[in-house]
Amino acid sequence: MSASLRIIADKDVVLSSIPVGDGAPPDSPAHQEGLPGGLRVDFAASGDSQAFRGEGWSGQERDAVWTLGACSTMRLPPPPDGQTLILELDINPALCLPVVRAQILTVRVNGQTLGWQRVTGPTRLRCRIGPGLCKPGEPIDVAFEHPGFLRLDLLGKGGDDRALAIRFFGLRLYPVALGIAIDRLMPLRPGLERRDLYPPPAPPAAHATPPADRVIYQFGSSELETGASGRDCLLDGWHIDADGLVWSVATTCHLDLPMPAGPGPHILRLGLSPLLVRDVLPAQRMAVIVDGLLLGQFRLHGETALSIALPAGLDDGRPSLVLALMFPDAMPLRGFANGDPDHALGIALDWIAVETVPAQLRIAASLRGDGLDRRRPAIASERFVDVPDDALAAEIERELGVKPAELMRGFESLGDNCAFGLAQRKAGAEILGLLRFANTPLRALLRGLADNFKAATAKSEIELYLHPDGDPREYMLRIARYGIRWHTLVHEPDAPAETVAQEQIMKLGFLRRKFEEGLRGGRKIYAMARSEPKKIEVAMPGWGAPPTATTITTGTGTGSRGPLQLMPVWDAPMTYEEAPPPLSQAEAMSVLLDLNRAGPNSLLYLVPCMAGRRAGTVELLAPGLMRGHMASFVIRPEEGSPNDLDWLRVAANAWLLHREARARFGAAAAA
Amino acid sequence: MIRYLVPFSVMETWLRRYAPADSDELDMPYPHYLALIRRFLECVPVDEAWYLQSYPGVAGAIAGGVFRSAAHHFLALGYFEKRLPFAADRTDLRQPIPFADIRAATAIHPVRGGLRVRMSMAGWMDILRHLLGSVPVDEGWYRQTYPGVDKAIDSGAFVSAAAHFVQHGYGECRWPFAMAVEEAWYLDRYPDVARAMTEGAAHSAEEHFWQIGYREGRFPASRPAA
Repeated sequence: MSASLRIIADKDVVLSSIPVGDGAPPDSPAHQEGLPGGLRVDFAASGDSQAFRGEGWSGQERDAVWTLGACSTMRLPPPPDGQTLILELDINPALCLPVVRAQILTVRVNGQTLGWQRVTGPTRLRCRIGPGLCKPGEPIDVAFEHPGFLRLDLLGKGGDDRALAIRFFGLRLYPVALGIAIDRLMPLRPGLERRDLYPPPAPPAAHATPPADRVIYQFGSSELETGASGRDCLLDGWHIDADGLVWSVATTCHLDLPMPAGPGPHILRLGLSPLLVRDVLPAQRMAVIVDGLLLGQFRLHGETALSIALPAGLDDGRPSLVLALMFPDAMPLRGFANGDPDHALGIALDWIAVETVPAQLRIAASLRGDGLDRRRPAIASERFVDVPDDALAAEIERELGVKPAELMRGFESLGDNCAFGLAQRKAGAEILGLLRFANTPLRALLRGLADNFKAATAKSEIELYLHPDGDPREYMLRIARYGIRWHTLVHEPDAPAETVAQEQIMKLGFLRRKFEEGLRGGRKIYAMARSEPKKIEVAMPGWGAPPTATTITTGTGTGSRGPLQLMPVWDAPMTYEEAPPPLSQAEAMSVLLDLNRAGPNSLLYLVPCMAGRRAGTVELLAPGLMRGHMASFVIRPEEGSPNDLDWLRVAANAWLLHREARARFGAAAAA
Repeated sequence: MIRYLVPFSVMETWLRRYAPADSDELDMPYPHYLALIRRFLECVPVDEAWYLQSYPGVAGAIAGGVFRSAAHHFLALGYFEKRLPFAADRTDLRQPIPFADIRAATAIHPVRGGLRVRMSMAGWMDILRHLLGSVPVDEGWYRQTYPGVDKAIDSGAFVSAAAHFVQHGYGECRWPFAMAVEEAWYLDRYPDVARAMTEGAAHSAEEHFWQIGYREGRFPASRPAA
């Protein structure tokens, strides 16, 4: 059974409910001989579309072909010279009613945007191609952009894991003079709507770099200092519990946010914490829909902050944005002693921010951040990946004109853990960095950035304590407001606590000022990862619990019924470590936006090798945003750890791409 | 199959970590609560053939390597999906208390990121008694092993060994059935016992397990329950 037939069974999912053939009677010349004076492409299995289709298409189905991902391409034969042409599409969007009600389709020809349309049902879409767009004798490259693609499996609607957006039934390309004849030959079927493209939105003025306007709506947390209560924005599907947490309690929840002011583009930011239950509900799926358009589908593995681009064209005079969140995995509370039978918990919503995207991040902000678009970024560097370890330093110096130590000084670690800071040390770069030896989970980092790390200069907010492990024990610093911890690299016997506190607080204040200056200067590449293992407390161990200590203190072994002492495994809490989920692009974008509040800065975020990328490779996703691939994030203080040099390779490739981006997009855009 | 039931001494110690000092109120993560329940389901016999016949999808999951056996599936998922471990008309075994009944007696509280169970120790003991009701107590072995109980049953103080076990025996760390000890594995896993044997303080792993090892939270053998 084909996927499309399977999905039609779900009444809410509209994938191909109405036949959208081009309407040409089977015995018409159009069917028998093609389109006189033009081109007719039939996407049915019996048709000829395969000869014209490029990237971004799913497999052939009986009567049509789906687009895959955010962009699909076609190459059409050269047109007759000097004529205005009509490109006509018979299409149907992938929807999930009543929430996902439309797909945005943008049509580009030979690199130029013709326009866009909001496709809400079976549609005959007309695009006018001016004579200047096509060169005589050269084929026409058509790109269809459909960033609102959806995956039904992530919506909880079956198992189809294709990223679907638009289903193509037919395409015609003909001179404008043939329009009337074509209408007669191929009349609209009932249910098919004829539409023309809207012109492309005017590009924002290049010089316009408005200060990042930001409106924050607080729901259950006060981690961002400013911001009004957003509780008035809550529509259906929410519940505020006794602790003040705002829970989604339905599989679809709505909010009504005021329309952002200003010309845009705007980005939507969500701070949330999903309900997870180990072994039962390890992740929650969430879809974000604005005004009927699906903007992202995420798997939530823990507390997070996501940035999602708002499409152009929303500010058409309406007073508000209706935001829908779908949680197909929401956990029903029905049946518990105190559970509301109507509640199904998805997330605790902390805050929402809507902000203007600064000019230098417009490309980065327009990317879909959920990682479902499988296209590889156009620019990637694998330059130093194959260079042998012993030749790497010389090769970097030859290619980039800097020594490894100098190269690594151009980066500032945003923490997570100390790995990048150690990599800098191993390369000979001993620099002062606020977060270089800090433990900064994503949300903690964002709290600090939002607050400009003011607490790092407030003695009352900084706590000195001894790390419970290690001999001798190390002094640590903690700022509870952000949830950030710092190594001091000073140990218990080295100095009394009062002295350490005094010195470290002074040092932290200095580093904070330096960090702020760095952000304003915009010269460094900021690096971050999520590699710190999560410590999970073991639930009651079953048979086969981990081995216990080899000595016990019962002193019995004889069967004496003296005071009982359990085996150590039962006495002490046990934890195990679990690798964290990699950072997503939407999360990295959140950090990048905050880094760019003070100045144009670039971010390199590191992920475990994915999509066939080798360790050391870096991709330029957009000016200002790079993704580096690592085989392992483990780095040991001693010399010669197996992957020591991968850090250097990643840094060198990031440096190279950063330089490349400056050359391609200009210094301002390249941040 | 070697069977095992987590002893009262271990369960009590484990629960104490979820109760603030001098309090009888438990506050634990929901997954830990489920793990605790599972420890008492581990010794519920699962009729492999009947289970696979009754729930054909499980066989595919086992073939695919997702589960090791029907018993493993029952423990991981089946019980929580209202599946039975053996035919409903079996008179020699008692079905475990349905999970829906446990849920109905459980108060959960959503907290940031997860769920917590908050209940009194007495509330848990009520649930525990129901869970113990499905432990397959070996009547003959129990009465023979614990002559005092045998007499009490004869005198009419208890209707059966199973009834005694639920009411008193489990709290006294008595065994519901014989538990086989893998001698070599036990001595390898617990070197202090091996040392005690060389010093003449213990005679065998089996004896050690019976006399003190079980109550100390040692395991009798390497094989998992399911």
